[in-house]
Amino acid sequence: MRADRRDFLKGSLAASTLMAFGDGTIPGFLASSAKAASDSAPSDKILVVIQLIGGNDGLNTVIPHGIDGYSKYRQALRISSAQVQTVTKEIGLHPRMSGMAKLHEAGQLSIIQGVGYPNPDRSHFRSMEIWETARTETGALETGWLGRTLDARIVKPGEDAPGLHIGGGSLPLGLRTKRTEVPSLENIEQYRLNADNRTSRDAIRDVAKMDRPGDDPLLGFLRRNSLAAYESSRRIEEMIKSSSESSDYPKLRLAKRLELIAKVIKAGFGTRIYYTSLDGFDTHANQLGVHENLLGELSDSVSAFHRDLTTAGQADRVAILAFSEFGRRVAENASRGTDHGSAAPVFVMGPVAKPGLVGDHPKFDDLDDGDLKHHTDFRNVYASILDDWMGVPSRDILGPGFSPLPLFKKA
Amino acid sequence: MRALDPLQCWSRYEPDDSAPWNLARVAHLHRRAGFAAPWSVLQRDLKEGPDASLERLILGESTSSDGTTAAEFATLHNGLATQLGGNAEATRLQAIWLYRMIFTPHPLLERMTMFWHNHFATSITKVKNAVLMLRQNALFRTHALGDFRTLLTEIGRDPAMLVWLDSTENRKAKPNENYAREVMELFALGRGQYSEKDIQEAARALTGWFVVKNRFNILPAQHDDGVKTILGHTGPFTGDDLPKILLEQPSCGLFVVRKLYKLFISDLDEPNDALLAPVANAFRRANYDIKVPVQMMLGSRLFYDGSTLRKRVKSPVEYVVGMMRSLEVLRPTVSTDKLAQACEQMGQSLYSPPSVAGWDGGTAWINTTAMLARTNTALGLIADTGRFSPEALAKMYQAREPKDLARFYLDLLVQDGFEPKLVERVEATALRTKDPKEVVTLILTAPEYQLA
Repeated sequence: MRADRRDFLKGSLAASTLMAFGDGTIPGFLASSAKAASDSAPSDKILVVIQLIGGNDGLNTVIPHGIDGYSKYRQALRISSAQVQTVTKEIGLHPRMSGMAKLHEAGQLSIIQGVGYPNPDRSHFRSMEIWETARTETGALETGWLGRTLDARIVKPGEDAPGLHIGGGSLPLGLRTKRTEVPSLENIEQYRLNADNRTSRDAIRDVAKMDRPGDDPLLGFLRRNSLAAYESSRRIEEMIKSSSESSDYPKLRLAKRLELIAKVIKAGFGTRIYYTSLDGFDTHANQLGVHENLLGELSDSVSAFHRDLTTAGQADRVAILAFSEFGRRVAENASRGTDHGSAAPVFVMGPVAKPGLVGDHPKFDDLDDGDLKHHTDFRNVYASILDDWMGVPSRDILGPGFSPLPLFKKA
Repeated sequence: MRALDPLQCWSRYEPDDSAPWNLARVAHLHRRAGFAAPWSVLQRDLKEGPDASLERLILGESTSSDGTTAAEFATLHNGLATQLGGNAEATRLQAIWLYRMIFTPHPLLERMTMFWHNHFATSITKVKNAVLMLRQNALFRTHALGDFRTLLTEIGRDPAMLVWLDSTENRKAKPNENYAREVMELFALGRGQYSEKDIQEAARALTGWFVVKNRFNILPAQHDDGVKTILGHTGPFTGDDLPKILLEQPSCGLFVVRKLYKLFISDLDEPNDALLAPVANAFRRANYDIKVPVQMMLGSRLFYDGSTLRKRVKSPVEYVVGMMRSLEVLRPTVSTDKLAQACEQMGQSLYSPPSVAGWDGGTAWINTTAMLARTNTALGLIADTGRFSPEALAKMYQAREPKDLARFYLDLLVQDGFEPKLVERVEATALRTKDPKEVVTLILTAPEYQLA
């Protein structure tokens, strides 16, 4: 994986992520901020992506308890019909996913079954690259599918960052752009410059801003990130200062991240794409308890987020996508866990057109070397989001051949 | 330079007019092979030349920065590690290691220990046992500049690794593929050098390997003693045969050397196999003695070529440890617990890499949060007048006047890395404010200072 990821980094260097930025050194959206809120129409639709890292066991998430085969392959890990949150007679959500079950009842949850891509790769790193770039051919790792979506529109001066990554660690490949720096933050308290006076704040900024005739691309990249950091932190500090209501969110890492996203949305930011993640799904051993907690965290966090947005009158403009790089083997292993597999369900939440199950459960009697076969390409899911939710032609982002699923009303 | 014949690239560096042995190259060596160096060390090595400087990095200095001898320092720190209980917090472990990096008489050994920690990336967030993590860390340090064959063999039996990759119960009935996959993909060969079938067969060879009460154990009854075919070799293999098979693959030496290239030469450009071949061949000829490629790279013309200088992004740990060492913030040093937190905010928690692939490194170290954290850490140090006085340090090296002080800090921290306009700006600040803190602030927060 590292070689491929490096290829991508190198590619992005060569391909202009690091190239000089036309005339200015500050990305357009950061240049000024005063009138940003009015410029970015608050009616614009918002996408929140939650990446479930490690390969989520789809079979124990959207559980085919009433389908022959489930109990044959799952013994130590089996969850019985009596325990699940009902979706249909044969299929239910994991018992801990009551929050998402309620979203389903309210017509706010689509479960797309059997999602994957041809020739599935069982390496976490490669498969994440495929999902995040929406490219299955090797070497095409310059930008993420959302990065290309951000690049599809020229950002006007004074606009807010069009995308935000909420979380620690490096920027996800999915958000890699060619043109803008996507800010990345874990919490607001740390997202500020602690210079004790204005003079030194300005001096630090000036040094980053000064033109370097040498025009080294790596240095340019560092300069732009420094400037983006100083500007976006100032802007976020300004915007968030006003909101300090008490929190109804559970004390979970994902919930805190979604709460931060909700704050930014409610503060009137023009950002339309938010990206965050929940890690830990690589459950090779003793899966039951770990997996239960993860699904509980996902469901409780999303549910609190949706409640918050509903109260604020913002729920109708927010769709949530939750995906993982692959599902797991149909048969459990001897460590009461599951190894890397392929096809799995994907969740889309929000004002969906077709709540409930989309597509059939993959067949147990037609496995590919012990793995479920996919019938829906993940890029068809992306196409629905792009065409029918974000209003960005998916062909430009994904290439031809991926028609949208009927997840949203046509834009 | 890279367009040249690979043998030329790796031939021994001899200073000449195009690549003189100057302050910039001395500092470059210490940034890449260690964690930057104090002024006195830079000056000494400038006098003594590249060979003596590299040899001292390979062998280690005789005394540490806290005045103890190298042997005392090692004993003290190895002992410190054993006093911690299994429940010790990750921050404690990080702080102890950061302290060791700041004061160590053998910076290259710590750099290489960190390299193996990143290579065999294991996280305490899942292992949840400080003692196992420290044992693994000691394993990396023991072999950091030693024998890769032993290291690859031992890591397969390392309890922290086996807990991390869910391989504590490898039962005959249903082999667990996790370790088998990662050892091929990430530890020895790289993607594309094996098939799914090789993984399944290797998992069978590993059956019978257990971790019982935090110790490695082989349970013969759980071993599948049938014949397996792994990477073209067929036999009734056990887990101990697996590293032997991997080490015989031609891609193995190349894979490790490629990662060393990223550590020492560049993590931006992707070297082709032909460029790496001379180093990989030497590595294999030396029976996987790690010192051989390390010495070859750090003493090469390519390493000292102008195109190699300042083309790596410092990792958070390099950034903070280097700052402490360059500025000699030693008595007392900054609380290394605080430094550990700072590194976390910059995106690097030691003992807690984001995945089994380690940290992405390179440009992935940089995002807006990381830049704010770096700037804030530098600002925090400069505001901490009890620990660091820019005036006193400059005075110690006879830089008293504002202009000399500016020159001193530029030479110490960025050498020729600032363009003339920037140098002017720093000198003007020194003259105008008469405040050495402002000078150091401008340098430590400059984009140039993020580069190694």
